[in-house]
Amino acid sequence: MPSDYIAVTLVILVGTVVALQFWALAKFVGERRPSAAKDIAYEAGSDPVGDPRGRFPVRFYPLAILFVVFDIEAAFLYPWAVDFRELSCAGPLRAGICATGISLLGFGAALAFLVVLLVALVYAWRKGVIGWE
Amino acid sequence: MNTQFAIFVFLALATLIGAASVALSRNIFWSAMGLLSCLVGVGGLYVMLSADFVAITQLLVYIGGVLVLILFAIMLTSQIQEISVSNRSVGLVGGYLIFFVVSTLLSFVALWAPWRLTSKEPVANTTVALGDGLLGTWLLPFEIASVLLVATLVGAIVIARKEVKSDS
Repeated sequence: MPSDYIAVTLVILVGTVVALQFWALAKFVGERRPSAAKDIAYEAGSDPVGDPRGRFPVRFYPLAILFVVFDIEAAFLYPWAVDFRELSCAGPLRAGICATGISLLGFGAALAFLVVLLVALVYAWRKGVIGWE
Repeated sequence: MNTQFAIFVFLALATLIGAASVALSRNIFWSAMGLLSCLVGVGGLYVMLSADFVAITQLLVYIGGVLVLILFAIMLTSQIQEISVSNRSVGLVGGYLIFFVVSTLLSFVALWAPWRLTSKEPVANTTVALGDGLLGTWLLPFEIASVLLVATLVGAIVIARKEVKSDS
């Protein structure tokens, strides 16, 4: 149980250390010659337009909701995908082999779930949430 | 055991300090960052309880989705220019009252509830068990969840559209 997460913890630790190490190297070892051109927000050379703390258009909000809705959809589909072989077999699986007939229950249930959300996507599309004129 | 306890204390502290900074920070942006610490801490506690799927969902939906949505909502707010005074801590008395009532209740539950200990091994792979449950016993709630998601999306679009029309 918790020992299964040693690898995950190591990845998080190494990721943090590598990021901090590059930051520290740049901060303490790197040479700095600041200039007015380097101090602007975009070093690509284009001048920033407007205030970054300004109000964003409300049109971003349905887009954010759209993202959260399909994020939750993905979370729901994950256990279905992991369990798909068992759900597609009419009887019990024996050593990964389905001796009985195929059941469409698992596929159909997820399809119904997806179709309902597809309706929402079509609605959002037709209301112009995805496009930008 | 000791390492496990240390990790638990670290995660619990991250959760509590994050939650406290959500309520106490005067800057709404730092409140959102406190919420990040709180949600990561709760996700870690799920891992410690061997609820691997719930932990990943916490990361995917709450940190990747809901927190982004909250940051969007902050940036869509009209008075964001006065970012330092965006949280004036109104209703302090009511807030403290709710805090004391809820924390007393939770402490009573934690101390006096008859917690049942089981000697059973925790489920090794909760995702398969959850898939069995979601598409078996709880198939109808699973399908209704998609209707709820559609309602959320339609509601957000209707409200945002109204806003755009009254603006122009």
